[in-house]
Amino acid sequence: MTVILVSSDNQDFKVDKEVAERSILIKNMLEDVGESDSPIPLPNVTSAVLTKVIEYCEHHRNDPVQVPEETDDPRKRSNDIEEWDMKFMQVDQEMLFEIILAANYLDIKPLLDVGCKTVANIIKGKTPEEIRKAFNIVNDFTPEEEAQIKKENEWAEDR
Amino acid sequence: MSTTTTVEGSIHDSGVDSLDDYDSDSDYLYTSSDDEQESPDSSTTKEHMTPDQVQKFQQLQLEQREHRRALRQEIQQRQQQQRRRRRRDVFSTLPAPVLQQILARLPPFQMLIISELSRRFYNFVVLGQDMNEVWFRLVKHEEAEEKKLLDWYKLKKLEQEHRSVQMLRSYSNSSTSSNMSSASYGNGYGPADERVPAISKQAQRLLNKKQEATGGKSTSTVKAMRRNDRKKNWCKIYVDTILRGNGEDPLEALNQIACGPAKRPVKFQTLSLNEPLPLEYYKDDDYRDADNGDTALSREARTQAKLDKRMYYKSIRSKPKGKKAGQMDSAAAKIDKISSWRQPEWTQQDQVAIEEY
Repeated sequence: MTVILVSSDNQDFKVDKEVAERSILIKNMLEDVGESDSPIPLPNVTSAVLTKVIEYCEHHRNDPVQVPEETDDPRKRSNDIEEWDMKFMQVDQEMLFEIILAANYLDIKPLLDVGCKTVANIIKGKTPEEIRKAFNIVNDFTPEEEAQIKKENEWAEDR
Repeated sequence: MSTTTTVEGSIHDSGVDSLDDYDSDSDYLYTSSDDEQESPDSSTTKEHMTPDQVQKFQQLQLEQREHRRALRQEIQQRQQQQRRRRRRDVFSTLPAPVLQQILARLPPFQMLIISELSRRFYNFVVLGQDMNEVWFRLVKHEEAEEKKLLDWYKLKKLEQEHRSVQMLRSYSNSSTSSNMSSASYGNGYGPADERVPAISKQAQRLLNKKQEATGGKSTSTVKAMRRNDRKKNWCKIYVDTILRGNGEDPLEALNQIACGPAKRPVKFQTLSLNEPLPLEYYKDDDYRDADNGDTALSREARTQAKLDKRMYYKSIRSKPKGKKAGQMDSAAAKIDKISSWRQPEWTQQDQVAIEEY
Protein backbone atom coordinates (compact mmCIF):
# COMPACT_ATOMS: atom_id res chain seq x y z
CA MET A 1 0.00 0.00 0.00
CA THR A 2 1.23 3.48 -0.84
CA VAL A 3 0.67 6.89 0.65
CA ILE A 4 0.88 10.27 -1.04
CA LEU A 5 2.71 12.98 0.83
CA VAL A 6 2.40 16.58 -0.29
CA SER A 7 5.23 18.98 0.46
CA SER A 8 4.83 22.68 1.27
CA ASP A 9 5.65 23.55 -2.36
CA ASN A 10 2.86 21.23 -3.56
CA GLN A 11 4.96 18.37 -4.81
CA ASP A 12 3.54 14.89 -4.45
CA PHE A 13 5.62 12.00 -3.12
CA LYS A 14 4.31 8.46 -3.43
CA VAL A 15 5.84 6.27 -0.74
CA ASP A 16 5.16 2.88 0.81
CA LYS A 17 2.97 3.00 3.87
CA GLU A 18 5.65 1.12 5.79
CA VAL A 19 8.17 3.81 4.93
CA ALA A 20 5.80 6.68 5.68
CA GLU A 21 4.96 5.16 9.03
CA ARG A 22 8.51 5.68 10.26
CA SER A 23 7.06 9.08 11.03
CA ILE A 24 4.91 8.85 14.13
CA LEU A 25 2.96 11.92 12.96
CA ILE A 26 2.02 10.25 9.67
CA LYS A 27 1.37 6.94 11.40
CA ASN A 28 -1.08 8.59 13.80
CA MET A 29 -2.70 10.48 10.93
CA LEU A 30 -3.18 7.27 8.96
CA GLU A 31 -4.60 5.53 12.00
CA ASP A 32 -7.02 8.39 12.60
CA VAL A 33 -8.15 8.65 9.00
CA GLY A 34 -8.20 4.92 8.31
CA GLU A 35 -8.06 3.46 4.81
CA SER A 36 -7.98 6.47 2.52
CA ASP A 37 -6.29 7.51 -0.70
CA SER A 38 -6.34 11.18 0.12
CA PRO A 39 -2.88 12.80 0.11
CA ILE A 40 -1.30 13.85 3.37
CA PRO A 41 -0.28 17.51 3.38
CA LEU A 42 2.97 18.37 5.11
CA PRO A 43 2.95 22.18 5.12
CA ASN A 44 6.14 22.51 7.18
CA VAL A 45 8.37 20.42 4.92
CA THR A 46 9.71 21.53 1.56
CA SER A 47 10.15 19.07 -1.31
CA ALA A 48 13.95 19.13 -1.02
CA VAL A 49 13.83 18.24 2.66
CA LEU A 50 11.05 15.70 2.20
CA THR A 51 13.15 13.93 -0.43
CA LYS A 52 15.94 13.57 2.11
CA VAL A 53 13.58 12.43 4.84
CA ILE A 54 12.05 9.79 2.56
CA GLU A 55 15.54 8.63 1.60
CA TYR A 56 16.34 8.14 5.28
CA CYS A 57 13.10 6.33 5.99
CA GLU A 58 13.58 4.06 2.98
CA HIS A 59 17.02 3.07 4.21
CA HIS A 60 15.80 2.42 7.75
CA ARG A 61 12.48 0.86 6.84
CA ASN A 62 13.37 -2.45 8.50
CA ASP A 63 14.87 -1.03 11.66
CA PRO A 64 13.08 -1.89 14.90
CA VAL A 65 10.90 0.91 16.20
CA GLN A 66 12.67 2.83 18.96
CA VAL A 67 10.93 2.86 22.30
CA PRO A 68 11.06 6.26 23.94
CA GLU A 69 13.32 5.78 26.92
CA GLU A 70 14.40 7.73 29.91
CA THR A 71 18.09 7.17 29.45
CA ASP A 72 20.09 6.98 32.61
CA ASP A 73 23.14 8.63 31.20
CA PRO A 74 22.38 12.28 30.55
CA ARG A 75 25.59 12.62 28.60
CA LYS A 76 24.26 10.84 25.59
CA ARG A 77 26.99 9.76 23.29
CA SER A 78 27.30 11.60 20.00
CA ASN A 79 29.98 9.49 18.40
CA ASP A 80 27.94 6.39 17.69
CA ILE A 81 26.57 7.41 14.29
CA GLU A 82 26.32 4.75 11.62
CA GLU A 83 28.45 5.24 8.54
CA TRP A 84 25.48 5.55 6.19
CA ASP A 85 23.83 8.09 8.48
CA MET A 86 27.02 10.06 8.68
CA LYS A 87 27.21 10.26 4.90
CA PHE A 88 23.52 11.08 4.74
CA MET A 89 24.09 14.03 7.04
CA GLN A 90 26.89 15.46 4.91
CA VAL A 91 24.78 18.34 3.64
CA ASP A 92 25.04 22.09 3.97
CA GLN A 93 24.17 23.53 7.34
CA GLU A 94 20.85 24.97 6.30
CA MET A 95 19.71 21.60 4.99
CA LEU A 96 20.97 19.89 8.15
CA PHE A 97 18.82 22.12 10.33
CA GLU A 98 15.89 21.75 7.95
CA ILE A 99 16.17 17.97 8.28
CA ILE A 100 16.30 18.25 12.08
CA LEU A 101 13.23 20.48 12.09
CA ALA A 102 11.41 18.13 9.72
CA ALA A 103 12.34 15.13 11.86
CA ASN A 104 11.04 16.97 14.91
CA TYR A 105 7.82 17.91 13.13
CA LEU A 106 7.27 14.47 11.62
CA ASP A 107 8.30 12.81 14.87
CA ILE A 108 11.03 10.58 13.46
CA LYS A 109 13.14 10.04 16.56
CA PRO A 110 16.08 8.19 15.01
CA LEU A 111 16.51 10.88 12.37
CA LEU A 112 16.25 13.61 14.99
CA ASP A 113 18.87 11.79 17.07
CA VAL A 114 21.27 11.55 14.16
CA GLY A 115 20.74 15.24 13.35
CA CYS A 116 21.32 16.31 16.95
CA LYS A 117 24.44 14.16 17.19
CA THR A 118 25.79 15.71 14.00
CA VAL A 119 25.25 19.24 15.29
CA ALA A 120 26.74 18.29 18.68
CA ASN A 121 29.80 16.98 16.87
CA ILE A 122 30.13 20.29 15.01
CA ILE A 123 30.05 22.17 18.32
CA LYS A 124 32.38 19.85 20.25
CA GLY A 125 35.81 21.24 20.99
CA LYS A 126 35.05 24.70 19.61
CA THR A 127 35.45 27.99 21.41
CA PRO A 128 32.43 30.34 21.67
CA GLU A 129 33.83 32.50 18.90
CA GLU A 130 34.29 29.49 16.62
CA ILE A 131 30.75 28.33 17.32
CA ARG A 132 29.40 31.80 16.59
CA LYS A 133 31.27 31.79 13.31
CA ALA A 134 30.10 28.29 12.40
CA PHE A 135 26.43 29.09 12.97
CA ASN A 136 26.38 32.83 12.26
CA ILE A 137 25.24 33.63 15.75
CA VAL A 138 25.16 37.31 16.63
CA ASN A 139 26.77 38.17 19.93
CA ASP A 140 24.22 40.43 21.64
CA PHE A 141 25.98 40.73 24.98
CA THR A 142 27.35 44.03 26.12
CA PRO A 143 31.15 43.94 26.55
CA GLU A 144 30.69 44.04 30.33
CA GLU A 145 28.26 41.15 30.30
CA GLU A 146 30.48 39.15 28.02
CA ALA A 147 33.48 39.74 30.26
CA GLN A 148 31.46 38.72 33.30
CA ILE A 149 30.24 35.46 31.75
CA LYS A 150 33.67 34.69 30.37
CA LYS A 151 35.14 35.18 33.80
CA GLU A 152 32.53 32.88 35.29
CA ASN A 153 33.30 30.15 32.78
CA GLU A 154 37.01 30.71 32.51
CA TRP A 155 37.87 27.56 34.39
CA ALA A 156 35.61 25.46 32.13
CA GLU A 157 37.43 26.52 28.98
CA ASP A 158 40.69 25.08 30.27
CA ARG A 159 39.17 21.63 30.45
CA MET B 1 33.53 53.43 -39.34
CA SER B 2 32.40 56.08 -36.96
CA THR B 3 29.18 54.21 -36.15
CA THR B 4 31.04 51.06 -35.31
CA THR B 5 33.27 53.02 -33.03
CA THR B 6 30.19 54.53 -31.40
CA VAL B 7 28.65 51.12 -30.81
CA GLU B 8 31.84 49.68 -29.48
CA GLY B 9 32.25 52.77 -27.40
CA SER B 10 28.78 52.33 -25.94
CA ILE B 11 29.61 48.76 -24.95
CA HIS B 12 32.77 49.86 -23.25
CA ASP B 13 31.05 52.74 -21.59
CA SER B 14 28.73 50.38 -19.85
CA GLY B 15 31.77 49.70 -17.71
CA VAL B 16 31.15 45.98 -17.19
CA ASP B 17 34.23 44.41 -18.57
CA SER B 18 34.54 41.82 -15.93
CA LEU B 19 32.31 40.47 -13.14
CA ASP B 20 34.85 41.34 -10.57
CA ASP B 21 34.35 45.05 -11.18
CA TYR B 22 30.66 44.70 -10.67
CA ASP B 23 29.12 45.91 -7.48
CA SER B 24 26.38 43.47 -6.61
CA ASP B 25 24.38 46.01 -4.64
CA SER B 26 24.06 48.48 -7.49
CA ASP B 27 22.81 46.70 -10.56
CA TYR B 28 21.46 49.89 -12.12
CA LEU B 29 23.05 48.97 -15.44
CA TYR B 30 20.91 45.91 -15.83
CA THR B 31 17.35 47.04 -15.81
CA SER B 32 15.17 45.52 -18.50
CA SER B 33 14.44 48.95 -19.97
CA ASP B 34 18.15 49.35 -20.40
CA ASP B 35 18.21 46.50 -22.86
CA GLU B 36 15.51 47.90 -25.05
CA GLN B 37 16.71 51.48 -24.93
CA GLU B 38 18.57 52.83 -27.88
CA SER B 39 20.86 55.76 -27.50
CA PRO B 40 19.70 58.94 -29.37
CA ASP B 41 23.07 59.04 -31.08
CA SER B 42 22.51 55.67 -32.62
CA SER B 43 19.10 56.67 -34.15
CA THR B 44 20.64 59.76 -35.73
CA THR B 45 23.56 57.78 -37.07
CA LYS B 46 21.15 55.14 -38.48
CA GLU B 47 19.77 57.74 -40.90
CA HIS B 48 23.15 58.13 -42.54
CA MET B 49 23.77 54.36 -42.75
CA THR B 50 23.50 52.11 -45.71
CA PRO B 51 21.17 49.08 -45.26
CA ASP B 52 24.22 46.88 -44.83
CA GLN B 53 25.52 49.05 -42.08
CA VAL B 54 22.11 49.13 -40.40
CA GLN B 55 21.96 45.36 -40.44
CA LYS B 56 25.43 45.19 -38.97
CA PHE B 57 24.44 47.73 -36.37
CA GLN B 58 21.36 45.78 -35.39
CA GLN B 59 23.36 42.60 -35.16
CA LEU B 60 25.83 44.31 -32.92
CA GLN B 61 23.00 45.57 -30.73
CA LEU B 62 21.62 42.04 -30.50
CA GLU B 63 25.02 40.69 -29.51
CA GLN B 64 25.27 43.41 -26.93
CA ARG B 65 21.92 42.41 -25.47
CA GLU B 66 22.90 38.77 -25.38
CA HIS B 67 26.12 39.67 -23.67
CA ARG B 68 24.25 41.71 -21.07
CA ARG B 69 21.79 38.91 -20.47
CA ALA B 70 24.60 36.45 -19.93
CA LEU B 71 26.27 38.87 -17.57
CA ARG B 72 23.02 39.37 -15.66
CA GLN B 73 22.62 35.64 -15.22
CA GLU B 74 26.12 35.27 -13.93
CA ILE B 75 25.59 38.12 -11.52
CA GLN B 76 22.39 36.60 -10.24
CA GLN B 77 24.17 33.33 -9.61
CA ARG B 78 26.91 35.14 -7.78
CA GLN B 79 24.35 36.99 -5.67
CA GLN B 80 22.69 33.69 -4.77
CA GLN B 81 26.03 32.30 -3.71
CA GLN B 82 26.67 35.38 -1.62
CA ARG B 83 23.26 35.06 -0.03
CA ARG B 84 23.99 31.43 0.74
CA ARG B 85 27.27 32.45 2.29
CA ARG B 86 25.44 35.03 4.37
CA ARG B 87 23.42 32.22 6.03
CA ARG B 88 20.79 33.06 8.51
CA ASP B 89 21.26 31.89 12.08
CA VAL B 90 19.08 28.78 12.11
CA PHE B 91 20.74 27.33 15.19
CA SER B 92 19.37 30.06 17.41
CA THR B 93 15.89 29.60 16.02
CA LEU B 94 15.70 25.89 16.77
CA PRO B 95 12.84 24.99 19.09
CA ALA B 96 13.75 24.43 22.73
CA PRO B 97 13.28 20.62 22.81
CA VAL B 98 15.58 20.21 19.79
CA LEU B 99 18.16 22.56 21.24
CA GLN B 100 17.96 20.70 24.52
CA GLN B 101 18.62 17.41 22.75
CA ILE B 102 21.64 18.84 20.98
CA LEU B 103 23.11 20.39 24.10
CA ALA B 104 22.46 17.30 26.20
CA ARG B 105 24.92 15.49 23.97
CA LEU B 106 27.71 17.89 24.81
CA PRO B 107 30.07 17.61 27.76
CA PRO B 108 28.86 19.75 30.71
CA PHE B 109 31.62 22.32 30.43
CA GLN B 110 30.82 22.78 26.74
CA MET B 111 27.17 23.36 27.65
CA LEU B 112 28.44 26.21 29.78
CA ILE B 113 30.44 27.56 26.87
CA ILE B 114 27.25 27.60 24.81
CA SER B 115 25.83 30.05 27.35
CA GLU B 116 28.48 32.54 26.21
CA LEU B 117 27.16 32.67 22.64
CA SER B 118 24.26 35.06 23.11
CA ARG B 119 21.59 36.14 25.54
CA ARG B 120 19.21 33.56 24.21
CA PHE B 121 21.65 30.76 24.92
CA TYR B 122 22.57 32.13 28.34
CA ASN B 123 18.91 32.22 29.34
CA PHE B 124 18.35 28.81 27.88
CA VAL B 125 21.37 27.02 29.35
CA VAL B 126 21.76 28.69 32.72
CA LEU B 127 18.30 29.92 33.61
CA GLY B 128 15.91 27.94 31.41
CA GLN B 129 13.71 25.14 32.66
CA ASP B 130 14.38 22.93 29.63
CA MET B 131 18.06 22.59 30.41
CA ASN B 132 17.42 22.55 34.17
CA GLU B 133 16.32 18.95 33.83
CA VAL B 134 19.50 18.07 31.97
CA TRP B 135 21.58 19.62 34.76
CA PHE B 136 19.43 17.86 37.36
CA ARG B 137 20.04 14.53 35.67
CA LEU B 138 23.75 15.28 35.51
CA VAL B 139 23.90 16.06 39.23
CA LYS B 140 22.01 12.90 40.12
CA HIS B 141 24.13 10.87 37.77
CA GLU B 142 27.34 12.20 39.31
CA GLU B 143 26.00 11.54 42.79
CA ALA B 144 25.15 7.98 41.86
CA GLU B 145 28.60 7.51 40.35
CA GLU B 146 30.24 8.86 43.50
CA LYS B 147 28.11 6.58 45.64
CA LYS B 148 29.11 3.64 43.49
CA LEU B 149 32.75 4.59 43.87
CA LEU B 150 32.38 4.97 47.62
CA ASP B 151 30.66 1.59 47.87
CA TRP B 152 33.44 0.05 45.89
CA TYR B 153 36.09 1.48 48.19
CA LYS B 154 34.12 0.40 51.26
CA LEU B 155 33.80 -3.06 49.85
CA LYS B 156 37.51 -3.22 49.15
CA LYS B 157 38.34 -2.11 52.70
CA LEU B 158 35.91 -4.56 54.21
CA GLU B 159 37.26 -7.35 52.09
CA GLN B 160 40.74 -6.46 53.22
CA GLU B 161 39.58 -6.38 56.83
CA HIS B 162 37.82 -9.68 56.43
CA ARG B 163 40.93 -11.23 54.95
CA SER B 164 43.13 -10.00 57.78
CA VAL B 165 40.70 -11.31 60.40
CA GLN B 166 40.56 -14.67 58.68
CA MET B 167 44.33 -14.78 58.64
CA LEU B 168 44.36 -14.06 62.37
CA ARG B 169 41.77 -16.75 62.98
CA SER B 170 43.70 -19.32 61.06
CA TYR B 171 46.81 -18.32 62.94
CA SER B 172 45.08 -18.50 66.32
CA ASN B 173 43.56 -21.91 65.48
CA SER B 174 46.95 -23.24 64.61
CA SER B 175 48.42 -21.91 67.82
CA THR B 176 45.72 -23.09 70.30
CA SER B 177 47.96 -25.89 71.33
CA SER B 178 50.27 -23.35 72.86
CA ASN B 179 47.41 -22.24 75.18
CA MET B 180 47.12 -18.84 73.60
CA SER B 181 43.64 -17.46 73.72
CA SER B 182 42.27 -15.83 70.64
CA ALA B 183 41.38 -12.86 72.78
CA SER B 184 45.02 -12.05 73.12
CA TYR B 185 45.00 -11.11 69.42
CA GLY B 186 42.17 -8.70 69.84
CA ASN B 187 44.37 -6.08 71.45
CA GLY B 188 42.25 -6.26 74.57
CA TYR B 189 38.98 -5.59 72.77
CA GLY B 190 37.47 -8.97 73.35
CA PRO B 191 37.78 -12.07 71.31
CA ALA B 192 38.45 -11.51 67.63
CA ASP B 193 35.85 -14.16 66.71
CA GLU B 194 33.07 -11.95 67.97
CA ARG B 195 33.70 -9.35 65.27
CA VAL B 196 34.06 -11.67 62.34
CA PRO B 197 30.41 -12.48 61.63
CA ALA B 198 29.38 -8.79 61.70
CA ILE B 199 32.10 -7.80 59.24
CA SER B 200 31.46 -10.66 56.93
CA LYS B 201 27.74 -9.87 56.87
CA GLN B 202 28.43 -6.30 55.86
CA ALA B 203 30.98 -7.39 53.33
CA GLN B 204 28.57 -9.95 52.02
CA ARG B 205 25.85 -7.34 51.59
CA LEU B 206 28.16 -5.06 49.65
CA LEU B 207 29.42 -8.00 47.66
CA ASN B 208 25.84 -8.85 46.73
CA LYS B 209 25.28 -5.28 45.65
CA LYS B 210 28.38 -5.41 43.52
CA GLN B 211 27.28 -8.65 41.95
CA GLU B 212 23.88 -7.13 41.21
CA ALA B 213 25.55 -4.20 39.53
CA THR B 214 27.79 -6.37 37.40
CA GLY B 215 24.80 -8.54 36.56
CA GLY B 216 23.55 -5.85 34.19
CA LYS B 217 21.24 -3.96 36.48
CA SER B 218 21.87 -0.27 36.23
CA THR B 219 22.29 1.39 39.59
CA SER B 220 22.36 4.92 38.25
CA THR B 221 18.67 5.29 37.52
CA VAL B 222 17.88 8.97 37.79
CA LYS B 223 14.49 9.72 39.24
CA ALA B 224 12.20 12.26 37.64
CA MET B 225 12.29 15.83 38.85
CA ARG B 226 9.92 16.71 41.64
CA ARG B 227 8.19 20.01 42.03
CA ASN B 228 10.74 21.15 44.60
CA ASP B 229 13.59 20.16 42.32
CA ARG B 230 12.18 22.31 39.55
CA LYS B 231 12.55 25.41 41.67
CA LYS B 232 16.30 24.89 42.08
CA ASN B 233 18.94 26.07 39.65
CA TRP B 234 20.64 22.75 38.92
CA CYS B 235 23.14 24.37 36.59
CA LYS B 236 24.50 26.34 39.52
CA ILE B 237 24.37 23.28 41.77
CA TYR B 238 26.23 21.19 39.23
CA VAL B 239 28.88 23.83 38.64
CA ASP B 240 29.38 24.52 42.35
CA THR B 241 29.32 21.02 43.74
CA ILE B 242 30.63 18.85 40.96
CA LEU B 243 32.66 20.91 38.52
CA ARG B 244 34.15 23.33 41.02
CA GLY B 245 34.19 20.69 43.74
CA ASN B 246 32.79 22.87 46.51
CA GLY B 247 30.55 20.13 47.82
CA GLU B 248 31.42 17.53 50.42
CA ASP B 249 33.87 14.99 49.23
CA PRO B 250 32.17 11.63 49.63
CA LEU B 251 35.52 9.92 49.85
CA GLU B 252 36.22 11.80 53.08
CA ALA B 253 33.84 9.39 54.75
CA LEU B 254 36.27 6.66 53.89
CA ASN B 255 38.70 7.96 56.46
CA GLN B 256 36.26 6.80 59.09
CA ILE B 257 36.58 3.25 57.89
CA ALA B 258 39.55 1.80 59.61
CA CYS B 259 41.51 -0.97 58.07
CA GLY B 260 42.57 -3.92 60.15
CA PRO B 261 41.11 -4.79 63.58
CA ALA B 262 38.43 -2.32 64.52
CA LYS B 263 39.29 0.25 67.16
CA ARG B 264 37.27 0.65 70.25
CA PRO B 265 35.05 3.72 70.01
CA VAL B 266 36.29 6.65 71.99
CA LYS B 267 34.17 7.28 75.07
CA PHE B 268 33.62 10.75 76.34
CA GLN B 269 33.40 10.84 80.08
CA THR B 270 31.65 13.43 82.14
CA LEU B 271 34.01 14.31 84.87
CA SER B 272 32.75 15.18 88.30
CA LEU B 273 35.12 17.19 90.31
CA ASN B 274 34.72 15.40 93.62
CA GLU B 275 34.73 11.90 92.31
CA PRO B 276 38.13 10.50 91.47
CA LEU B 277 38.46 8.88 88.07
CA PRO B 278 38.08 5.13 87.91
CA LEU B 279 41.20 3.11 87.51
CA GLU B 280 40.12 2.00 84.02
CA TYR B 281 40.49 5.58 82.95
CA TYR B 282 44.16 5.48 83.72
CA LYS B 283 44.40 2.08 82.16
CA ASP B 284 42.85 3.53 79.01
CA ASP B 285 45.29 6.33 79.08
CA ASP B 286 48.04 3.91 79.49
CA TYR B 287 46.80 2.05 76.42
CA ARG B 288 46.24 5.20 74.44
CA ASP B 289 49.62 6.49 75.34
CA ALA B 290 51.23 3.27 74.32
CA ASP B 291 49.30 3.42 71.03
CA ASN B 292 50.06 7.01 70.24
CA GLY B 293 53.61 6.85 71.40
CA ASP B 294 53.04 9.50 74.05
CA THR B 295 54.80 9.30 77.39
CA ALA B 296 53.01 6.93 79.76
CA LEU B 297 51.66 8.10 83.06
CA SER B 298 54.22 7.95 85.74
CA ARG B 299 53.90 5.24 88.37
CA GLU B 300 53.61 7.90 91.02
CA ALA B 301 50.56 9.33 89.38
CA ARG B 302 48.96 5.92 89.15
CA THR B 303 49.61 5.23 92.79
CA GLN B 304 48.22 8.62 93.67
CA ALA B 305 45.10 7.81 91.72
CA LYS B 306 44.67 4.59 93.59
CA LEU B 307 45.03 6.37 96.87
CA ASP B 308 42.56 9.04 95.83
CA LYS B 309 40.07 6.38 94.97
CA ARG B 310 40.51 4.56 98.23
CA MET B 311 40.09 7.77 100.15
CA TYR B 312 36.98 8.67 98.23
CA TYR B 313 35.27 5.35 98.89
CA LYS B 314 36.21 5.49 102.52
CA SER B 315 34.83 8.97 102.80
CA ILE B 316 31.48 8.08 101.32
CA ARG B 317 31.22 4.84 103.30
CA SER B 318 31.81 6.44 106.68
CA LYS B 319 28.70 8.05 108.14
CA PRO B 320 29.22 11.17 110.16
CA LYS B 321 28.24 10.67 113.78
CA GLY B 322 27.45 13.40 116.19
CA LYS B 323 30.66 15.33 116.43
CA LYS B 324 31.64 18.25 118.40
CA ALA B 325 32.65 21.44 116.72
CA GLY B 326 36.16 21.33 115.45
CA GLN B 327 36.36 17.57 115.91
CA MET B 328 37.10 15.64 112.75
CA ASP B 329 35.26 12.46 111.98
CA SER B 330 37.23 9.28 111.67
CA ALA B 331 37.20 9.24 107.86
CA ALA B 332 38.36 12.83 107.61
CA ALA B 333 41.05 12.12 110.14
CA LYS B 334 42.15 9.14 108.12
CA ILE B 335 42.25 11.22 104.96
CA ASP B 336 44.29 13.78 106.73
CA LYS B 337 46.59 11.04 107.88
CA ILE B 338 46.86 9.49 104.45
CA SER B 339 47.48 12.78 102.68
CA SER B 340 50.50 13.31 104.82
CA TRP B 341 51.70 9.85 103.79
CA ARG B 342 54.72 9.74 101.57
CA GLN B 343 55.38 7.20 98.93
CA PRO B 344 58.08 4.79 99.86
CA GLU B 345 60.78 3.75 97.50
CA TRP B 346 59.56 1.28 94.89
CA THR B 347 60.71 -2.25 95.16
CA GLN B 348 60.74 -4.65 92.27
CA GLN B 349 57.96 -6.63 93.92
CA ASP B 350 55.72 -3.57 94.03
CA GLN B 351 56.25 -2.96 90.37
CA VAL B 352 55.27 -6.51 89.44
CA ALA B 353 52.17 -6.23 91.62
CA ILE B 354 51.06 -3.02 89.87
CA GLU B 355 51.56 -4.47 86.43
CA GLU B 356 49.53 -7.55 87.38
CA TYR B 357 46.78 -5.33 88.63
